[in-house]
Amino acid sequence: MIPTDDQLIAQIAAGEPTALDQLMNRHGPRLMRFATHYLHSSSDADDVLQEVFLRADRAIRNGSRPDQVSAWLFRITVNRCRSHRRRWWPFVSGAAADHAIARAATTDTHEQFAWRDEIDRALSTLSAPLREAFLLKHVDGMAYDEMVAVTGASLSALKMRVTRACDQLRERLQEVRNA
Amino acid sequence: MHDEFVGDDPLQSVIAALREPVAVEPGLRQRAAGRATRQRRAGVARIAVLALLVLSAVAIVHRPASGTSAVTFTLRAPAGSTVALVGDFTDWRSDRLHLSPSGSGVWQATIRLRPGRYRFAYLVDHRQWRADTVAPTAPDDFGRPTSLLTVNP
Repeated sequence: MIPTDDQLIAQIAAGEPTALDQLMNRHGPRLMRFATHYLHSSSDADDVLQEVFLRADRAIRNGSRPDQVSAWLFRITVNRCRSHRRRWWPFVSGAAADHAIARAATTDTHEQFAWRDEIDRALSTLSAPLREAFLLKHVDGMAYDEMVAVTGASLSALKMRVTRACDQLRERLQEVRNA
Repeated sequence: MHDEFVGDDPLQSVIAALREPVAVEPGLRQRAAGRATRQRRAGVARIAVLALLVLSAVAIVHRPASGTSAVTFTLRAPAGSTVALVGDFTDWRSDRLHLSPSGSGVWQATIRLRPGRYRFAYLVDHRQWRADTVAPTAPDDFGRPTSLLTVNP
């Protein structure tokens, strides 16, 4: 029988060594996708996932019992991504290349690769708050009340950010099509 | 879910592409364990370095009788020509408070603040935005790091 998130949390608290691995296997891909697109770097995203792993482990062993495990892990991930970006912001201009190089190893055609590259570029032109709101809403499919819990931002601010992000992305993509 | 997108809105294909799975490399536990070890070592080294070189700091001297506290802001910016202090208490204007050079590239200013929670940052040469290296930080609405300061009653 597959354990629930709550059962895995109880197992981690009891010192079961593989329970957190199971929890991260379940939620890690969504967290990794968000972090990769937010930071434009799969290696930076992997750094963030390691931090999330360590912080979740520490928090649960110190008595945290999150009601919504997925939202809780997302909140840690979002905070770690923000910190990572703040710490490395002056040096990240070349980080998008890392993402592109990792993707180049896939079987994309030239056109697919160019399109994905353009998406990355368009996404990177968004400010961090807009990018964060857009990814949570439209890529992870979160409801606004979940986004409030994950980001700590107000409902109206999040709606405004998502709308602005969509407008700016459309504008950017239109410029590419017209070029 | 994306019913706000109509017709051939290019965002639909953008979202579809971004929604493709991104794998987590196997061995996350081992990488995290290695990271924890490196962080412990780096923490010790960081404390040693900070003891030798204070890059910036906020020091608060309480004066309960006057209802305000003297707060000293310090920033090390050897290459800077001017250092402005911007924050809630300047309405984020850069022409109200400037740090003065106090030698060896260190800049300082002392102001009096009422009890409360403030956000602030330094602006070096009118263009280089810097957060305090000791105070906790949080991003502002533009994603720039700002420092947090609490003056207790």
